[in-house]
Amino acid sequence: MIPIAYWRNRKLYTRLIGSRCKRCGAEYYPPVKVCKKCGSVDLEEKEMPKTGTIISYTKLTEPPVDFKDYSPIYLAMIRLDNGVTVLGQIADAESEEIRIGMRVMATIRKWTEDGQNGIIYYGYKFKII
Amino acid sequence: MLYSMRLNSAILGYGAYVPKYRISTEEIARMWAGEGSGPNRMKAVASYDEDALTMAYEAASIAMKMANYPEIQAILVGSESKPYAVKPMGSILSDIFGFNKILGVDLEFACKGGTEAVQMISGMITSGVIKYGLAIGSDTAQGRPADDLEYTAASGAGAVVLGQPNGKEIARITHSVTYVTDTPDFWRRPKEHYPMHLGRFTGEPAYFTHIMSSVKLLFEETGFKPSDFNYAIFHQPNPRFPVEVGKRLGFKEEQLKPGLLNDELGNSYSANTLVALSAVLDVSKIGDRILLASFGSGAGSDSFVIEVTSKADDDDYIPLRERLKNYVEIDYATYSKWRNKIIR
Repeated sequence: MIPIAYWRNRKLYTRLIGSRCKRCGAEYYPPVKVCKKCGSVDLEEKEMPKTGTIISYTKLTEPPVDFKDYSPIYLAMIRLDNGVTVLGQIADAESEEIRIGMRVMATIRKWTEDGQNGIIYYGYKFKII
Repeated sequence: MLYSMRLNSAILGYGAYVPKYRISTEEIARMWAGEGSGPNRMKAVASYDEDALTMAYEAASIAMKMANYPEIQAILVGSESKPYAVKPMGSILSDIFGFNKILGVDLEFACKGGTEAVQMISGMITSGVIKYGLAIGSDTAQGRPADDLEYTAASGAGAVVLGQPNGKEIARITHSVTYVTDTPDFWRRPKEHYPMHLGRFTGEPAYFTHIMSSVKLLFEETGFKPSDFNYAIFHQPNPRFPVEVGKRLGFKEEQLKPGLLNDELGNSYSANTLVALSAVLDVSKIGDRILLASFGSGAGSDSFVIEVTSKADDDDYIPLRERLKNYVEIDYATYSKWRNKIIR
């Protein structure tokens, strides 16, 4: 990861800040500049709900190099309580316990870090509730 | 040095976070002694993607929800295992919670960083400088492999949201005392991964002297005696010390028992007494009075009088001991990898 790019997007990663169309009310994560439903460019920042449901998941045994030490990683599609779907890791998960339909809650965990002396990248992950 | 302060701050929300993973002290003993165990049965271990900051967030989130997300003006985080040597957790947490006009600072005093945060924020509230503050203690405590400390040095976080009494608070903090001396019982030099300690010296001249001095002063200042308290919480470096200091001060076992967690969780350093406070507040009733006394090596002890005024108003809240039933035991190899004990 690049520290400055992470810093610019930190609200997305730690607070799940997305966007909401002021005209039709559609919500998005990650945020968009133009509403995909009504075409409006009048959107505002909107914090996404922190709870949702697993709609699909996979076990990643060969993750990207930044996440190699953390293998296996459990990646899931989460339908948040406002209907927006996000991709996220499941924290503290044992493979046999994850099920589609499980309720989850967003928390903050380490995503990765730039070695021993670099930046630590924190962001959302979901834990089973 | 002794000093005391009358306080008028309120606990509006509280939260404790203990990681899901445990290692048994039998497993640690198997590694280094072939058999046996430590003074405690298990200790809590942070997962590979957890550190003092993520655990602080977890505990604070529980406390903030219980307090109905007030406009926080100070976040003080006590820890001796900060993820960065220079870069405060206070500012990162402020940003995550969305508060920027705020005092966001880290504190360190071995195992009493968390209660220092409570004391300082209570002081700011009592004096009217701020309305709401968040005090956190969080640590991924380090114990050198094969050292006595490895059996107990654990992970966890505790948090309280403090504000001015408003009639709806969970408890009031009415008095606090601190006793501090220069005592070399435990220390860690810059750039060192593991702390050093003077073995049995950590008992009498350190733990017992400082806790007993601060609690006795608290009794002198307030006129209270052990029988005036429904519960007493003492720092728990192992299962034996808090029971022994309670006995010496005149407390009975039933006053101590609800807060005793070391046997199953180990010592989460700055979080230690705040995690125990959560367990006690979970079972306390309106009108109960709690004595809390922390201990930090180096050395010092903060004591508090806490009076319970109402029950938490949060339907989603799950009591700490209920949450502790869900844990997974790991082996020494996994623990070594997750807690950076393997050099590559």
